[in-house]
Amino acid sequence: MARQRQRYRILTGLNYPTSPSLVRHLSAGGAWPESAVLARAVPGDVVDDLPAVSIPWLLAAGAIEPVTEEGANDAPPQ
Amino acid sequence: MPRRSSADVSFLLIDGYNLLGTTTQLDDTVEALTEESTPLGTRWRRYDPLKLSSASLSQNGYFDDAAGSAHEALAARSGAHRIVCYGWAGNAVGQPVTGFAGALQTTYAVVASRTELTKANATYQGSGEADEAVILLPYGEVTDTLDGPVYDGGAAADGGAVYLQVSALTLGGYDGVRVIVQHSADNVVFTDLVTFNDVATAPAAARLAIPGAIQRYARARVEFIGAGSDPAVTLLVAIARY
Repeated sequence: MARQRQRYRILTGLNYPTSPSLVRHLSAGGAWPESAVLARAVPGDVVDDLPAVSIPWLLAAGAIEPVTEEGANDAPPQ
Repeated sequence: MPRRSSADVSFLLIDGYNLLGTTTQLDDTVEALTEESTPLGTRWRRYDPLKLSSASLSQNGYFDDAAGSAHEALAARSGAHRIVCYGWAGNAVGQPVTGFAGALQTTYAVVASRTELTKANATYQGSGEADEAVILLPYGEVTDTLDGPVYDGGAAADGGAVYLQVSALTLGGYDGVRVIVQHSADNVVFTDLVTFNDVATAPAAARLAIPGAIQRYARARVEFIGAGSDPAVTLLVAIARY
């Protein structure tokens, strides 16, 4: 059984690449290609495909928060 | 930085009006104010800084009463605060932009002389900040949702300011255009740093202060709001880091 991915609630609007190869390219210091396709998430959205490499700084900046398995904090922010 | 000439001046935007085509001279002066503090028994005058700066700008050019040109932009605006941006080193990401948060237009003079083209000159007194910013989204036309180029300006703990100048807008049925300045610590995920009020008419301009930290990488995002076809906006986005 596949492990469920950690979900995060978006607290600040953000754009992120969903292509693993593009994330690897950017993480290695590569330049943005002109035709990059980005996902857009707005406050209140819950996503599970944020690039793992960015999670620490997004949490530290207060841009996202983890959604618990039990759904204890699944309610959107007031 | 290499030497620059008048050919490198890429835009002069005043509340969204691009007056580059009618301007022949810009004179931008920033003065650190001082007070004389010479005591008795001293042979040479002394001055102490007041930790207060003053900015002024004067602009000379040709009189032009075409729609959207110098006369429309400057006449009847004396006494009004203007948002001014000019680029003196080209129109590429990261090139310098001087921005005035609230330049108070103090004069507008039309000068007609025999055997000369009529001139139109204006002066401004800086009221508030004058920012040494850089281009985030070069002055030009955008016709679709755009995630602009990334600029690596280094992290800034003390915040900064962003400028938006919109000189032309065709909505094509859309409700407006939204410009978001985003930042990122890793150049992978970009979060919204500040969002300008939606723009539905041009010319228009805005400056927003950023009180908090700015991450290392920044970019501008342009979105057309609603639904329509063939929209176009001509704009500039610049950012200053403190």
